[in-house]
Amino acid sequence: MVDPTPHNRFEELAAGYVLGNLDSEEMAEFQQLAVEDPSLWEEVAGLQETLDLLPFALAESQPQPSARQHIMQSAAQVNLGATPQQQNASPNTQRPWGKIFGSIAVVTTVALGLQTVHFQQQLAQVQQELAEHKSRMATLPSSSTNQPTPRNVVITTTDTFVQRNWQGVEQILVDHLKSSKKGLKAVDIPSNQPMELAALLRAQVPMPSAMPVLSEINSKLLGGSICTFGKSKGVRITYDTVQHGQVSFYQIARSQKPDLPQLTPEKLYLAIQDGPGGVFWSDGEFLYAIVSNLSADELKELTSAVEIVES
Amino acid sequence: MLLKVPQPNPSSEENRSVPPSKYADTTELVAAIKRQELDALGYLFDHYSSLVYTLACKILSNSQEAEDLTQEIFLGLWERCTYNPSRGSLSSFLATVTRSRAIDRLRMKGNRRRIVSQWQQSLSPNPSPTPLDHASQSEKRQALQQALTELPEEYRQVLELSYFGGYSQSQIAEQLDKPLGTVKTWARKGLIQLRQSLQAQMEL
Repeated sequence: MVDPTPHNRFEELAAGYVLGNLDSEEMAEFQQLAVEDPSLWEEVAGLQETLDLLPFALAESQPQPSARQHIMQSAAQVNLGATPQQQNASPNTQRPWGKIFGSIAVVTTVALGLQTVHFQQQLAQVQQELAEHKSRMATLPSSSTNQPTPRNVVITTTDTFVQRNWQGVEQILVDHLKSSKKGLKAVDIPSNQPMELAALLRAQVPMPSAMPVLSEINSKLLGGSICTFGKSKGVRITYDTVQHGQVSFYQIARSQKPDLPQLTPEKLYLAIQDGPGGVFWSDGEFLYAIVSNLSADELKELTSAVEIVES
Repeated sequence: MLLKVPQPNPSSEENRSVPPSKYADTTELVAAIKRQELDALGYLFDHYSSLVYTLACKILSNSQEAEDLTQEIFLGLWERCTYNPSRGSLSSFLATVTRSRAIDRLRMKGNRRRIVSQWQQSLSPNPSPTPLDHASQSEKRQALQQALTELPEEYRQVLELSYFGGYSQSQIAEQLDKPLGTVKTWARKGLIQLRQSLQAQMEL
């Protein structure tokens, strides 16, 4: 199936990317190629434009003549009523990062009914610990919190440990804090439509055809942005929640840098006192994180609302 | 030159030729939209509403919903224009946005009523009897029709199900009763061949 001719393979991967039908191995190959030869993006852009010509093959139809008038009237009203509304981050999100990481602490494990694992030694021990719990961990419980068997892991540790071993966690939480401060300005591609957002983001960074979205009724999709963590590119999808402000949902290509816990499909909580908490997991190809100032319980609830949307 | 085959180049022929003399290129048109000039919105609607509405109708199979979506898209651009001319043509951007939102609407309704047989003939390689009133779009239509005649039927069918139906490749494989790998290959080859055909016409 693999075409031995480099250009044909190049073209085939670009076409698969545009169509959203690359499997995980091909996606990795695509990412590698995109790094080695940025002209791959030109190929992608050309194929995307070709695909978007397909509507021209349809028999043309026109909206009702009244549609134009209605739009012009609505636009005029928008103009009359327009007032700049810059959303400012809530003051309580503006904390010096050093302070926050100085206070990484236990989350409310009793309320969650989760197992707390204290890691105070080396990273290798932590990974071993995680591996031991892996068989007992499953995805987040959807309703009951009185599970006799622990199904998630809450890690509490020191700032030094995180900074030394899991720099990536710090970077992701910092990114959330910064974007929270900027509010809507942090959203490069505003959209409240998951499919549209996925398509627009995919035009810029490698993304799988399936994008996880939050289907929680009280969270409103604001848009997405490209973000870079070390050598890893990813996207930050921003939601606004009615009661608890901004939620950042990350989808990041896995790589050696920055350092992150050895994640699995099981959800891992890393929470800090008086600051944002995050739920982290991985599907092997991409790392996912939901970061917010929600309580651990609320964050758990929100994470259970993750839905995979094929785009 | 029949068709500018797409590159995200702000100085491309398409970007220069699409708007009339009032707007030298799409960059100016977008700037006018951002300045909230109603004339620019009117111009945008006059030249692109057909593309948006036709595509919305195709996906939603409902003229009223298609009209609602058309209004939503143009008003959305008016309130916050996110199109960046350096990333591709305006028609491609509008097609992407329209398709995505229409499929989102279908998903929200859980409405996946279409079946394969309904899709087989809609991407007709025969030219539309209604010419576009805009030269550039008319050229696109003509070139695309020619390119589609050269495309194997199975390639065209898979592309259509994927693009207009919003079906995943595995859903298409299931519906067509073909292996997933075959469907993926057809879609990729179809897209590549379509582009090559358009490029060949450009060089004529």
